[in-house]
Amino acid sequence: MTHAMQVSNLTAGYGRRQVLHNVSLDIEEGQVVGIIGPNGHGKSTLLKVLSGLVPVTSGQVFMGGISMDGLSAHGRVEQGLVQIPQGDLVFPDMTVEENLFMGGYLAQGRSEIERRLERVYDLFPRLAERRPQIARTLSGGERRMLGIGRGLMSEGQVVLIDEPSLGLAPKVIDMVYDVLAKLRSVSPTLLIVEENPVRLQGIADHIYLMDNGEFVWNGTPGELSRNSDLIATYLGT
Amino acid sequence: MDIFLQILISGLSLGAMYAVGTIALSLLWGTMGMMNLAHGGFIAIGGYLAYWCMTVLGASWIFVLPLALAGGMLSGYLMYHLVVRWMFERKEFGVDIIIATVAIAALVENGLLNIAGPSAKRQPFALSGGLRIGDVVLPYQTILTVVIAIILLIVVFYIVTHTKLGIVIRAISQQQTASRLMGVNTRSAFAKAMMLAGGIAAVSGVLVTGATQLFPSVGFDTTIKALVICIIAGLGNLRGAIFMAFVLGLFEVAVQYIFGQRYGFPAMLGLVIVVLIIRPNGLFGKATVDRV
Repeated sequence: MTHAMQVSNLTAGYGRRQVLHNVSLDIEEGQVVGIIGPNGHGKSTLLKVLSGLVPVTSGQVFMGGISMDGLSAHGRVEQGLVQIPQGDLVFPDMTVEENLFMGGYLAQGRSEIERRLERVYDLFPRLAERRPQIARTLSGGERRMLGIGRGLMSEGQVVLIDEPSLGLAPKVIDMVYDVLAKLRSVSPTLLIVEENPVRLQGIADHIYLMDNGEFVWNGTPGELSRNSDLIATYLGT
Repeated sequence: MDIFLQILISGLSLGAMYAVGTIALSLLWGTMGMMNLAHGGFIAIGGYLAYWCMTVLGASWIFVLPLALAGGMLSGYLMYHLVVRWMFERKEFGVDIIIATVAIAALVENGLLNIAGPSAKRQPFALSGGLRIGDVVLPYQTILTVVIAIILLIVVFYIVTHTKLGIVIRAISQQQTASRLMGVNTRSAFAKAMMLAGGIAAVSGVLVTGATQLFPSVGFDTTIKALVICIIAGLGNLRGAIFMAFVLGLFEVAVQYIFGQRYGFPAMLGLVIVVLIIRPNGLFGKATVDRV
């Protein structure tokens, strides 16, 4: 197994306020890794640091052995590191297809874009039906599918997904996780952040628990479910 | 009937001129959240390049618009790399850039004052005479202005709706963070947007000075009016801005005909205050631009 991503001793935050303290993480190629933890404790910040939206104070991020030091957000996408952001950051006044086209922004050639579009439409048939519709008029669930589909258009080697189930109805969450499970078979290495571990446990190979900007535990989903004290302490469920 | 026709013709030609100035401002606000008060500087640069091209170089009128376009694009490119990019990622960019662009406008005006002097000049890129339709005379300059303005509007709309740069400009204006996460190099897109805005403004400068006169502060009035139109339409909304440019062009001319020349601009400003009280985001307004 080769390392898809390595994070070592990462400290980062906004201005003087440090949110992440000495975070280290290893992801093998083709692995699905989950990060869980209470809200406001640095999970989303970690993804933003990895994708280059928030600067690093100290520590390093490597992808496939290449240092991401000093690389801008778009430079990281070029290297195959893609983030699907939290919530509805779709382009509201563009059609579904234009949104997806933007996801494949770096793809070369019309036929390559068409191939990727077909792949996303296969995963989310609902998006194919809504092709010409303006994103603003989609339902919450459809917008989330569009956000995920758009991220998959870039066919990154490592895909970071920030709370894919946030604010969705249980049925739609099932659909989103069905798609994520399907992705496993086609390859990409996934790093998924969720507040609640329940859905993640069915799909992740390894889970990290973050509290106050630090990883306080990591292990397999099986180990996590046997450790109910841990969940009760940090997640209150 | 003749008066009505005259108002319509004058209003539409004024509206066409406003529309061109307004899309340049609207483009930068929409994509970058940047209020470009140096817009008048680009207008003056276009006007003077046209003047020098024909009088000093003695070149044919054919070269005037391409030269103004190139000069405006170069000015936009330089302004991005010398000033804007150093401020852009700061939180206070919105306010800082207003001050910086006022300073740039003043620098351009003073530079032109030193080089060309304060006296008003006649723009040689202008047509005299006119087409007589019944009792109404349609000046050739008006026809030229409207035709060039419409061509520019079509080109800009084509760029925004049909090219990769256009879809990127729209994407950034709607969701800047998501655009960066899609691999868009926002810096390069901003530089291109500024080149486009600079080129459009400089060409509009040739048209404006052809209809009036050429002097270093010639862009000031047009900037204020373009700003008013952008605000009434809703900052950053291109279609709304163009529509409002024609409506306000007609409104200004109608007020001038009915109440007198000097009431046109104050009436327009009165209207902007009313609109801002009733609809703070403008008539077709969208909310603020997303910034990280």
